[in-house]
Amino acid sequence: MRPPRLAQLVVWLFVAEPDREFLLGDLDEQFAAALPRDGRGRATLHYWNQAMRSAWHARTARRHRAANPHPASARPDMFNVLRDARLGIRTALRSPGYSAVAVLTMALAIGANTLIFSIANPLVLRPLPIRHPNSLGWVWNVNPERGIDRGRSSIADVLDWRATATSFSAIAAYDQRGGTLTGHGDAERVQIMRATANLPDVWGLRAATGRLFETGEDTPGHPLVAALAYHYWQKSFQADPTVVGRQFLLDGTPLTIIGVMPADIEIGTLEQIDLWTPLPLEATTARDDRTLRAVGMLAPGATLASADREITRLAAAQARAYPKTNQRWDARVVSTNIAITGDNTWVILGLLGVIVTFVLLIACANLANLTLARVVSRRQELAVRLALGASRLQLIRPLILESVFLGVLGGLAGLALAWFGVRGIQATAYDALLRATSIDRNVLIFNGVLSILTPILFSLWPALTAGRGATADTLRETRGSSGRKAGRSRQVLLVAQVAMALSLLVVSGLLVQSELYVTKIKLGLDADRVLTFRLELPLDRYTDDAARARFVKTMTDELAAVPGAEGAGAVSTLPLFDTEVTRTFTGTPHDGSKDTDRPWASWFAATPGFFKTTGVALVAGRGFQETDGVSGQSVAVLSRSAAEKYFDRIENAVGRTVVIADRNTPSRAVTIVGVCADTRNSQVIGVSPQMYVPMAQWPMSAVTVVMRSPAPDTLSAGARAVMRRLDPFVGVPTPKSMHQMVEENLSSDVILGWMLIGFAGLALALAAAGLYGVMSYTVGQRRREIGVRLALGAAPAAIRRMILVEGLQVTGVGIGIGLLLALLLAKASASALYGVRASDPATYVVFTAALVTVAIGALWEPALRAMRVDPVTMLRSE
Amino acid sequence: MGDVILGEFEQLVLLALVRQGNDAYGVSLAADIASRTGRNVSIGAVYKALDRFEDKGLVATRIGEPTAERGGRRKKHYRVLAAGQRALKTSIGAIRNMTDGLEAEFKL
Repeated sequence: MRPPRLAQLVVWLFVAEPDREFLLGDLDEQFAAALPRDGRGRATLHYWNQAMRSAWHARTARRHRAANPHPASARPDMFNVLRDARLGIRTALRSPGYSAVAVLTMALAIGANTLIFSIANPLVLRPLPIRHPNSLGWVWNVNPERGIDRGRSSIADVLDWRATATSFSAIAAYDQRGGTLTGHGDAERVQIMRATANLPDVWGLRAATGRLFETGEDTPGHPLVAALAYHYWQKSFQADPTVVGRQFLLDGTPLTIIGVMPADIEIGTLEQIDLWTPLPLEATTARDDRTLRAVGMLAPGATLASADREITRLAAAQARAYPKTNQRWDARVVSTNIAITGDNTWVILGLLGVIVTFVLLIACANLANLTLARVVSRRQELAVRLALGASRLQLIRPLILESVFLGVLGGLAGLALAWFGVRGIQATAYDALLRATSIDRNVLIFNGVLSILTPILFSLWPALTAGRGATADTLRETRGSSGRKAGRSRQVLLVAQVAMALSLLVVSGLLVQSELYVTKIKLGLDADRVLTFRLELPLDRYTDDAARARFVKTMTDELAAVPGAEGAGAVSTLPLFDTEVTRTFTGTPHDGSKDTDRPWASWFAATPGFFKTTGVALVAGRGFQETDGVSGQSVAVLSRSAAEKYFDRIENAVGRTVVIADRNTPSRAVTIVGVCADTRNSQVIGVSPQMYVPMAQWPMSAVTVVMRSPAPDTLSAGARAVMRRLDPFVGVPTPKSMHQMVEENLSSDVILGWMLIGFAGLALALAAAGLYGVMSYTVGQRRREIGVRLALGAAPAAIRRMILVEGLQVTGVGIGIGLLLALLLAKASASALYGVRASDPATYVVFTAALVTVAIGALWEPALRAMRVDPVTMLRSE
Repeated sequence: MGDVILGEFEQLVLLALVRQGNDAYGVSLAADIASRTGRNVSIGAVYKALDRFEDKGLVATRIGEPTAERGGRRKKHYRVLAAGQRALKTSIGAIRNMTDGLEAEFKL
């Protein structure tokens, strides 16, 4: 039976030799004596008791002897810390140059980190407005074959899960759609969240006013009720509490307001929701009509893993029972954290995190170098104090406290910088994630911790070096000689700085290139000249296709007549911006044998004016005409890529007839009458095959209107007037120019791109400052040596070359490591790169050259100074 | 060094040392104090006091042989020097003087 090893380790750690041996021996002896007498448990307990108390005594005993040979002068420890802090602050104030550089460097580095943290914070740390996020499982339908990993679910499948899954005590579902709310001022287009009545319970929501849904309100046929979103209640109803109980019309159906949703639920896409209504789960809906998001509350005892297993099993059973609709469809259950974030978001944020960490490390390396230089110049003072009996801790503490003082100042300045950054982002961002950026308590804590840790990080090494290096030899050293060890430390720091700066430059260069690539992509339409808005025709007022077609025709004619308008049109969904509808068809030379291999295209119903208005050029055949109506021949226009993909050549497509065959609608044959230019798909970076059909033949109740003008914004008022006159019950959102929409879409990328450039530039500047500082210092320290060399006949140019080469050698090592690091980082972030390869040689070469140029620039002045050392003055001063 | 002031615990350690003669060491001292005073004595505290005595020249030390029950570690033996005796006498004398006439109350 051995004494407890961990307790022995505690003693070993805290008690120094020679006492350690005797003490451990005594404790072991006591243990051996107690074991037969008291039993193992009590003996062990006793050992621990003794070990801990001995460690405690040893701690005070050792300090007592080492630091304070005169017990009478012993002061409480806290007093020493305060005294050292005062000493540190005084030292900092005595060298304002060093202090200013240190504060500025830390302000930039800590500011950059604080900014990135405040962007990531809402995602990572802000509590979700959900009561028990960890007890929720989010169910996604997945279909690996079609690359769907976050798919929605059908009503019938959700009802199955509700009935059979035991891992969930409740399963809620929801979807979103648009609607027109009338009965309160102008008709208003609203975004609606339709949710099962149990969603408020599952998420743990409480009404801000009134109540939320009650059981049964989501049964099909129940009178429609609705809860207002908080922001919508504020904006459109001036937060009037009496709105509860009032009745309005939603797409012509009467609806009663029962309450107001809580304000804190408005995050991410939920920001856009104006109205919440119950979602009736009609069991008769087709199983392949997957429109719902499902979320379940885990039953007591169930885990995410067990729920995932059960849902996977149920999905497999569904696939067997309904092979036509559910084959190859699987389902999985994920945690709240995974459910609420996107994928690329994490890549970019992770990269930004790495980058600012590097910036911080480079800044630390710079400051460590500066501090090291200062410490080295104070070595004699430190050696004297050490010789007089000061402990290492006493030597180090004022140094570190001085840095911490500067760090706190730098942190405050950094917080101010981050605040400006956050304001800038809030003013320019459209993305919900970036707009959520703000400086809250978490950010303040992060900033504070960084302000303390950064200075400790950069001053600990120099301080320890000083403590170790200050020996009796130091006392005999003459002025101006620098320790060899300190010199090597500085070089290591320089190499690290250069490596990090280069890798940041390369990676941000790659990312900025891919962002430029995205902004320069030809969209395929004249975004600068198009004004657009989306509207939905109330189903109660436009009950049949003819009425809808008539309205669209009248509307486009009238809009085209608005003064300044060069044309107007309408389309079912706007390429590039709206969610795309894809349809499959047959009748091409490339029809596959299986259903899944069928030709497909993004599908748009457009009016005759659409092509001219948006500037989508026709490359063969014709566009749509007024005669392509209900009575005319069914026609279609293919995009260039669709024509080339399915008919090999553009000319082959014109005149051919294909059959659009969809599950929900009867098949319809259409004759291809023209081919138009490609427009980008909604991911912007890709082009998908597209098919246009005349809207007169495929009437739509929700359309996106486009109007053309050299100054599209000037059409806005005219368009609104026309819409009010035509039908005040059709809600119209504020028209926007397509250009503005493009900018809004790209705003996040632009912001992130600017940040990348800024941070990489910062890293380069800091590394250059580091090179300059260290080489200047080295030259200053070696003036005697250089003077001797010159006196012995060395050519000044050779001296200059010597300094340059020394600096560039360090830079070279840094570049080698930096290139490797850059490659690793670039590969890791490859999924965020478009139009440029992670190993793009040009980027690596250009930035290496840039870094070498900057390095030579930074080394030039110290090298010149070395060349101009006057040997006579130098030697005389000895 | 004539007027070394002994703390109360130091008095106990030094007294135990006087009682045990030449072979006293950490375990024996702690055990003696524990059995006579009923206190749960920490060996670390004993060593802390012994270190102070050593610094002030009140005790002499001798390193003993390693034994198996100690995990092969050596013992450090202590014995009281004349200065230690004097310090103890002074301290105990002071207490004697202060308790004169109070014997009935303190059962001395």
